[in-house]
Amino acid sequence: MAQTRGKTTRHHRKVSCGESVISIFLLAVLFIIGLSIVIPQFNLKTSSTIVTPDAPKSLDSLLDSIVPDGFEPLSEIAVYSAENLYEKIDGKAPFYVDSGFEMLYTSWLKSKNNEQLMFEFYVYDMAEPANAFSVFSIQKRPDALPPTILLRKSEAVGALFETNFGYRTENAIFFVKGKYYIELIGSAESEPLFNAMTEFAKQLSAELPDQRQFSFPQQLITAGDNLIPGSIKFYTGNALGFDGFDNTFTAVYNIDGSNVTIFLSERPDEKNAEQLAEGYCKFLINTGAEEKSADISIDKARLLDFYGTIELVFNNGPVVAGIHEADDIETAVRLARLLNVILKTDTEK
Amino acid sequence: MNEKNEQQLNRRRFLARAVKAGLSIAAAGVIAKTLYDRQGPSAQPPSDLVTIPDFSIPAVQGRTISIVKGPDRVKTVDKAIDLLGGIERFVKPNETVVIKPNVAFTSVPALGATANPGLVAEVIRLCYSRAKAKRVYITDNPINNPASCFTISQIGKAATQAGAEVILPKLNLFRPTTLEKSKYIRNWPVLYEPLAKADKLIGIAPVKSHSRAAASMSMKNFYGLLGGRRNLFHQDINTIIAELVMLVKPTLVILDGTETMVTNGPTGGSFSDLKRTDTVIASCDPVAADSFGCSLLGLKPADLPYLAKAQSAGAGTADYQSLKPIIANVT
Repeated sequence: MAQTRGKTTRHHRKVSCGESVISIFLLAVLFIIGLSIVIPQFNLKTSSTIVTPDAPKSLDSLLDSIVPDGFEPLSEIAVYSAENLYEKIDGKAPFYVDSGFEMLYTSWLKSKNNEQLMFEFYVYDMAEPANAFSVFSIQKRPDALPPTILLRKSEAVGALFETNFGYRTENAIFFVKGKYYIELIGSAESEPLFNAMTEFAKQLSAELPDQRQFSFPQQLITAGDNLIPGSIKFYTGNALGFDGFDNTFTAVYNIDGSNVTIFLSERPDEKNAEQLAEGYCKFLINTGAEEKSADISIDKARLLDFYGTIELVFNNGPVVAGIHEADDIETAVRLARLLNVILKTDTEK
Repeated sequence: MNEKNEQQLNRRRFLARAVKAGLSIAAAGVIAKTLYDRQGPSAQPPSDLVTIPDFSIPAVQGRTISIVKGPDRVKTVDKAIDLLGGIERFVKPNETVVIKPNVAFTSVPALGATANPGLVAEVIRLCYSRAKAKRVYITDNPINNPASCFTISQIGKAATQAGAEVILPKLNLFRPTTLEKSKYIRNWPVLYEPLAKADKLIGIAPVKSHSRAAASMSMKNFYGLLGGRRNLFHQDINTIIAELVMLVKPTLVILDGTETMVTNGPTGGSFSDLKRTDTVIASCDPVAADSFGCSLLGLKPADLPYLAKAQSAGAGTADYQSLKPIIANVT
């Protein structure tokens, strides 16, 4: 044995070049991982800046670039995700998140000449046009002015809502474009402010990256001549207060002076539709409704008295339909029959 | 083992290494045993927990709640407070007052999502000019950026001009508190420091619809004293609102229903979300104030489960009529 008694000798094995390279590489990887953890710790923001692969980044820069004449940004664009939407809109956040919300882009623009005049824009990315229409329709102000009123202030804006859903109030504009639901909230009722908002809305509407259109089921439009304009709503869930009613449309008709709501929900198949109709009837009965008999002339239709208003529920193939809160049985039956004929015709087609 | 390794590891060296390894393991064991905490870590040492002072004042029969109708907030709030005995009943000379307005959003006053700056300024004026308060502080922990909220709501400017000091909610002003028998307020951060230096607390809130709680009024206003990820409580909003009014016992609340946000609350956005209801309520009992306030939204007290919960917990009465409210009109 090559060993010297009472004296230790260290033997250093020679490190090959390959081993050195691998070691340096591994250390570099560890260093990069370390940096990628440490750096974000010092860059926390309350509003999320998560960027998804397609539109958001370009939307961010698009919003930055739209500034009406005589106005300037009051703040940077803040971006919120489903995780922190509550930081912006508090108790309303669950409503948006449950409806498919993905991102919110928001900021203020103010007049250079009058510090009292400013508006805040909210661009909600709702992932799908149906979701955007849903949050738009459910929140629609009852005394909304039709979008054509926009012509009063700026002729150019007349084209804004040609193929979209939108309305204005004294100080605000609300509209849907593709998967986006947009709110422009003015600080005052002022013509210069409103003109700036419409200019902003027009440019935004034209340049938004999603130009898809959302359309209603034709049955809603043809179920009577008395459809109240703008009354169509779409619920992604919990329509009429019933958990089972997801993807459900409602619309209000004026029948002989009284307003009646009809509802439609297309299901995957007839059996599912039957079960849902049955489930809704059970829900009504459990909450105090009483079943009534009447000559409805619609297969399997059920009529219920819910504390003085009439509910009528049936299914035609895979579509659950019915009448909600009619004042009397005659009106409910009349409108239900009409709706059933339209659904039948549609099914036969 | 090859020959080279055999040369390196003889018996003596093996024993030396084994002893070193054993000592290392033993040392690690001793250190671990010394540092071992049988209790486990607690989120906050109990000694750091604070208790929010009780700011309520002794009741005077028939002078708990006043309801004043009229279009001018300044006049109606003056009258409402006078009917309860005047601001002097609530604030004594040289006392320090904290006013907690609802400044939740970066929203202009005209939209009614935040307390009205003119109303806040008037209450500050009363505290100074009539009650001879030493100091008035204004504070809230808004949903949105605090500085922006105080600026755009114009409450910051109005308060400063009226002589109050605005306290923005910095992290070091929060302290953890636990409410006994509470489901949610356990070791939870609250905006404590401004309250710690106060003798009296006055809440000022607008009447608003609320998509989650149905209504946001004087009880919900105290949500703005919570820190942390308080949105978690939205899942059980009725319980947390009831707990808030057990946690925070104000001297007085002012509920502003001059313009009520009847739709799309709590943020609103359109003037058409507001309805003129021309009413201001002053009350020593926030539960009673909200029980009347909900009528401005077309609701009954039974529509707001948090009122019954708060009443059951002894935080006030949901039967405001039993308090014989003083009702007046101011034109």
